[in-house]
Amino acid sequence: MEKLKNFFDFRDLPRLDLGIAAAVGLALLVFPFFPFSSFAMSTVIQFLMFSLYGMGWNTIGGYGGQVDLGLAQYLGIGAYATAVSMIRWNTPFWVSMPVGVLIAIAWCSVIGYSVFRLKGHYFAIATIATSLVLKDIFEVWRFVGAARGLEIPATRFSSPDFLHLFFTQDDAYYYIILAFFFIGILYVNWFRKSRLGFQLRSIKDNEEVARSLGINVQWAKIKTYAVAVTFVSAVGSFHACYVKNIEPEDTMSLDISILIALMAMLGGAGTLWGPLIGAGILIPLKSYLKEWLGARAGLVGIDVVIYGAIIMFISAVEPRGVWGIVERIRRRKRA
Amino acid sequence: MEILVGSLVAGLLIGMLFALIALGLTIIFGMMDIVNFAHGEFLMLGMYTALLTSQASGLDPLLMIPVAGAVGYALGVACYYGFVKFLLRGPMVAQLLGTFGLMLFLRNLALLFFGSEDRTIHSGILVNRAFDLGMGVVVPATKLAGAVMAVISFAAVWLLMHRTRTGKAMVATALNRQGARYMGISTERMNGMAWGIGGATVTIAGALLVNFWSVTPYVGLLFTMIAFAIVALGGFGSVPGAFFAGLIVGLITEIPGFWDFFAYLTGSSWMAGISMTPFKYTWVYLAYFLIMLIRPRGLFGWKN
Amino acid sequence: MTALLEARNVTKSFGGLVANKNISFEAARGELLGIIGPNGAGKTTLFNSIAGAHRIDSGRIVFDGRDITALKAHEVARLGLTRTFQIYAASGDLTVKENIMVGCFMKTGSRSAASARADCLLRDFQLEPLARHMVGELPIAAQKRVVMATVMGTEPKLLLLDEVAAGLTPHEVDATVASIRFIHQDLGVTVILIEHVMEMVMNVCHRVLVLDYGEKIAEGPPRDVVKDPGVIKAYLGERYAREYTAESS
Repeated sequence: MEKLKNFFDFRDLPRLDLGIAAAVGLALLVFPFFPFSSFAMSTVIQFLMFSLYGMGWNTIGGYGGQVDLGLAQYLGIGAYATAVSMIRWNTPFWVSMPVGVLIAIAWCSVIGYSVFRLKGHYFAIATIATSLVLKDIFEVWRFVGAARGLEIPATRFSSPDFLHLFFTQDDAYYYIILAFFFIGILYVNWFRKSRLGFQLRSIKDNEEVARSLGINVQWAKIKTYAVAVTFVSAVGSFHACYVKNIEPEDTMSLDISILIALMAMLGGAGTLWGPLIGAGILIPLKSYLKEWLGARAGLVGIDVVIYGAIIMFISAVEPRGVWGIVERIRRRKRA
Repeated sequence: MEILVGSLVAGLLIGMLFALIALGLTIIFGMMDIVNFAHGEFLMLGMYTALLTSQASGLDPLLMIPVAGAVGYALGVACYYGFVKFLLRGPMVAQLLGTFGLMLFLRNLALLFFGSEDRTIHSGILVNRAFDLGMGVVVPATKLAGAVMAVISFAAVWLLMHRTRTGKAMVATALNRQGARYMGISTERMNGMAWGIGGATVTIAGALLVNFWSVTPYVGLLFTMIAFAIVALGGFGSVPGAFFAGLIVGLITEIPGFWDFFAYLTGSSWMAGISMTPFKYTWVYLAYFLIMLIRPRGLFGWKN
Repeated sequence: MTALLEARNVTKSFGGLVANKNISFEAARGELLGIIGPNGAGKTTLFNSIAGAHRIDSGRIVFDGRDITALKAHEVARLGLTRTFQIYAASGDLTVKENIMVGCFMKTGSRSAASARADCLLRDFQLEPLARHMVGELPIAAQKRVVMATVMGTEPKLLLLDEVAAGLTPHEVDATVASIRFIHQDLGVTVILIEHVMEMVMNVCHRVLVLDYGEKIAEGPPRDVVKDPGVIKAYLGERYAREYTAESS
């Protein structure tokens, strides 16, 4: 019973933070009732999805300090598991999603076991290499539609279909991903205070010392990796149902992997709110920059130029991200 | 038989150019432990420089090599003093993401200014010429020139690093930064030079590459990954390592040719049925992965 | 009575350098053993060998009746043998209490149990006022107390302390001695410590082992070891050894 309590125990956080979090949570709950444009709605859905990806990355990359730049491959696994099973066998989402997670965990165990011995740059590049290999395979594999990808035909199901997550309105998708979002936050809240969370942080601090305190480093990393991969794959499955049209380039590309890592870092890697802040800044930024600037002829690319410049700025000026700045200010006030 | 020899020759030639591309990356890493994700973008800019200046001036693209080199040097130095210098203070995550941001920045700047269409070189002394090496092996002159120039550049860099005072200062800083500083060698200057030389070598490689490889703003990423694999195989920081690893990786990209040869040799219809061409570069990524598993230090690596 | 720890002919080389050569010794339950020797004698390597931080080339290590020679560092720790490190480079993301909790988590999976135990340790090591500070921000003496508290969180039977007094003022050394006595006498932990600070070794240890160039050159109560000509030679050189033995005879 203590375990359950730990999910909801936010008492160790400053009251101001909890207040803001509650306000944002409330705003998210009532958002669909207001007449925002469908573009805004899809941006917020993207925000929720990417927050979850970021939360997943944060467990291994933030708390664990192992910078993974290939997490999108698990997005792909989740998305394709759902898409393939739905197209071929009409499998409900609620079945294909856990199956996708299991496949993703299997894949990550295979890779993780070999790759976790590497540190720093070598690990990061290795994760890129594996994700590119998987993407290359998917681009020629006819079973998953090769480079053209797969499409869940709009005529297959009739809205609203909860089993197959098929809706014509975004509202239903919104609330489902919002539910995932809240569950995700509760989980990360539990994680950061759990034994595994502490073990990871000790590993990040100094691996040798961690070992001398009885921590089985390899096993802790793999367990955490499984957690990260679960987040990413589950939301990947959702992604397939939401956009209905997936291909390797927009589910498994390096750009997406990096975006995930970036968001968590921008917001504050290794903190509870970091990924959310990062997603909250980058997703709307990306969407609106593209809307306003990117499509205009003659200015193609300027949105990403600005985007890249922002990344450069943050990495050089405050590598601990927005939350790092917040903590720095707070610490100064306390002293 | 021609397939085998043809693939071998092609692999080695392109390998030499790959090696030159990777050279800059390994020099920079050896000097300051930073992995430059934007490396391929420098290559891309070198390609554009050579192509556009050649078209503008009407001169042969091969004559534009020094121009590309100068642009590369300037770009490298500018990136160091303007940005990378600040990254070095932060944790590795920030460094990785910082150079990644630089990659996006440069790539899309190119997209903004040059547009996304493929551009190729159409005129030049070597374009459309080929050498017949006998045994049915025909080598495009541009590729041969690329390989030759790459070897010359390698030799030049090696001489620079081991025979000149500045070069030796660079090697000293790479081996022992603190010690070099006690000897009066400015780390800042050495870092800047590393980026300059690194930038120059890869833009020169770009100027050579563009003679037979069309350029778009997106061409960089593939070569960044190839360069990573080469540097890993050869050993992060090792110049000779980069050369030999480049040759090996060049041969790896010729696996489709070797595969077809084996299929023919063994008369295996199963093998003949699968084309390895889409996986040309997948094998490079796999090779990287295997190297990291078996010998992370690489062939000649001295850094951990 | 069987020894708590027994090292038999432990040998470890790094490339061409033999860091530990045929070292054998025993530590009885409840003892406070000191290991001294000039820099580079192989003391920390011996700790690493015992604690499983690396594999040894030959020899055996038996702890509490069990052969632990082939075990990995975390397995050894879980059996009740923990150690501290001489140089501890922390990335500094943990607070003092969190750091201690990492040690406590070895013994329990429950957060509240770990937290409660950490609170006790904070009190025992006078770290209560510093509980919410980042470890990296503390002065060295406090950091070393944090390390000791953390390692005690694992409830060890045998504790290896590697130069806990290095870099401390005499006043801080006294406090450290008090902590070690507390760990040894009040908490009943067998302790082996590597030290350069001689007052500590003299005052606190029952027995002392001396290493030089990878070999054990002397063993016995502190008073005796200090007079051993081999030991004097190791520290002060041949000439002083001769002068000293000439004087005392």
